[in-house]
Amino acid sequence: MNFSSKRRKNLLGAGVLAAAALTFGVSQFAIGSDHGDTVEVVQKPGTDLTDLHIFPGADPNNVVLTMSVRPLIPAGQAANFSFDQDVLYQFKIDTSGDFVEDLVIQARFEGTGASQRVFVSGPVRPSRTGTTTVFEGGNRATGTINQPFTVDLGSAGANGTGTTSTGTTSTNPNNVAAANRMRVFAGVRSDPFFLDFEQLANILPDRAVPLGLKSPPENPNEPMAPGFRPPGQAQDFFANFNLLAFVVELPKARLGTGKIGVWMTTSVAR
Amino acid sequence: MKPRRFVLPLLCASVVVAGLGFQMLRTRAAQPSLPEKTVSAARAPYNPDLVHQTVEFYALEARRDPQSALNRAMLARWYLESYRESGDGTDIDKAERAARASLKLRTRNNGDAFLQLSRALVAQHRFPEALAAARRAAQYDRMAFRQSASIQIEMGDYQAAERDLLRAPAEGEDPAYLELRARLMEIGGNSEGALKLSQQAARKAEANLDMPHQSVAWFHEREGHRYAMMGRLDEAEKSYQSALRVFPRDYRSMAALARLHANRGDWRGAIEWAGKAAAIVPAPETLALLGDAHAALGESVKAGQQFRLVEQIGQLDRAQGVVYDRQRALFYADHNRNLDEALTLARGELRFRHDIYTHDTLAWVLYKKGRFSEAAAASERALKWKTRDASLWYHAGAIAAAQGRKGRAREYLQRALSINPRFHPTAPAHARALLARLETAKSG
Repeated sequence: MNFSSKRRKNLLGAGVLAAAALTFGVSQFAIGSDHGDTVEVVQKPGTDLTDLHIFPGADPNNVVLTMSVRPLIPAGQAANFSFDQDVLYQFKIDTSGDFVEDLVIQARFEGTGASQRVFVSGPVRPSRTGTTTVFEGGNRATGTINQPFTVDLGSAGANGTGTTSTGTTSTNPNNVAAANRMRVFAGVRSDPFFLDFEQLANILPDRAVPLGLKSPPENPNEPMAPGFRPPGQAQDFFANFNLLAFVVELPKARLGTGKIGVWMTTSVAR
Repeated sequence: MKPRRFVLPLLCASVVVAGLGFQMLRTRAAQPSLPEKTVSAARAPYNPDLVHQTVEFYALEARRDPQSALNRAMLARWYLESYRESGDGTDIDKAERAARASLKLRTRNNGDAFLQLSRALVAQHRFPEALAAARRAAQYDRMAFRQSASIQIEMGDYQAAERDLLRAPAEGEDPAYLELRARLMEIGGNSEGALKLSQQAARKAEANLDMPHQSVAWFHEREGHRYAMMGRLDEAEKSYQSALRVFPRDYRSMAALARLHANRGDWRGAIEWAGKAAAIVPAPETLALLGDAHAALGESVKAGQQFRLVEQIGQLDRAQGVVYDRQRALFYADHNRNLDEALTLARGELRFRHDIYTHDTLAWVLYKKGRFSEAAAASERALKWKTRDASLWYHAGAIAAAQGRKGRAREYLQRALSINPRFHPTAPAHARALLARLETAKSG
């Protein structure tokens, strides 16, 4: 079997991990992209998380966290899509190694279209952890979808526990000291994931089947193709699809000084 | 401001963790005691270019990868969405071709292409083929049993439809599922129950900000239809207006508003709404209503123009694969014209469809042709499920009266008027006149 695309995907993952290792220590594990992974997210695509990337910023003192969500937006239709107003988007950061979030960076949205408002909070210690959460009060700032903005984190210490956080928004990052600056972007971006998905659906028959299936696909263990298409024939199914990205760049020191774990979540308002 | 609380429905991560083997966290159950959200989100305004842009996108993607079955199935889906939005019959043919192209590349585990093929065939009234395609789709996705249930309703096998609907997953009783159940309930004579389901469906559709505008509008239109069937015209009007608020080009709701105004005797209002609907999709029944409205206002030249258009458009649409045969047959019967052709059309529909409305159409055409006993037999089949549709009972009452079966005629006509005293612009008055004649004959 030819797994060229799969290897490329692994390389991508390795690249992400290596970058993170430089910043936070040795990395061991990554889970790849998943588009439309449950019936629930297909029915509410604004909750559909696909990829989390962490890498150093242009300033070596900074780290960038990117959340990819709401995939399969056809190219040219950016103006028709905005974040789900009923959903809280979060980076959760474990700084103590106990797999419980010690810090969160959150985003939620109001309105639709080009004027959708972005509300950002964090990094801040969450008032509650786990599956039920609230939009926190620390370092709150606002911006607009598809337009980068800068949050003045003030002189708070690591873990967002300082008392002088300002959380004010600035459109000019030069107005904020680098050590206090978190740059934010929330909007449409090209899907960073790539795969010859058409052929994957032939190799792994169950991948060709729509979500919601309650019975097994036809001959699930009998591939319809021996491997991926060779270079020149293989097509990146996702090449012309966009998604929504929530991206923050902030000083590494704001996320602690040791090893960290990061994951992302979407939560529906009740 | 009171903070909104959020419940985590899922947790997805490609995660960086140092030193420890990390496994993806699994979804945990939502805690049930959380307060309801207090802020309702707004739907983005309707974008008239979205469907066309999406069709163009998938057409390009299909060309980019000549071996892509997925993109061709998606293209078929969006052609059908385009048809739903614009009523352009050429989109049906394009959808069928795209679905077949997808299936040529892959049949196994290509349920979506089978489903889109089935939908394209339904739009052409090719019901047996559509049912076969839906059954193939259901091999891969049990949701497709909804499609086969819907086709069984069109073909008049309501028990098979019930069985198929039971085989389809309910998935939280989403709007489409509720509406299908409402349709079966309505046919079974439970109008109140059907209305409740339609109301739920419309509410759920409205709350789903990811649902296409035309789909949301369709659920409002269905709710309006159920109110209108019960004679609750003011509530029906609100539902139709809700549909138009979401999807301003909803020609189905415009046509429904035209009927509603006509049923109230407001012919000018009917002309206004029918004109708007016909400017988007000149369906024969909308043009016929326009003609009736002009005729009622003494504008015979305009009425004649519309009636001629009904025939021309009906034939043109048929050439494009859009079938309005039953509507044309009813139009001919209602207007006492081309009754031989009406009979051919009605019998043609009956080849594949044995639903109550095809039987009713045949009954009404036969009645107009003076073949009362055949009409009565067809009408009895139309009433088999005791559907609370006033027009069915009115037709049955008129036929019974023509046969001299006075008791049955009175019963049927009274039932028609009790179900909905405003079910048609002119028929209720005719029903009342017939009843008065029957009463006179009784007392005489």
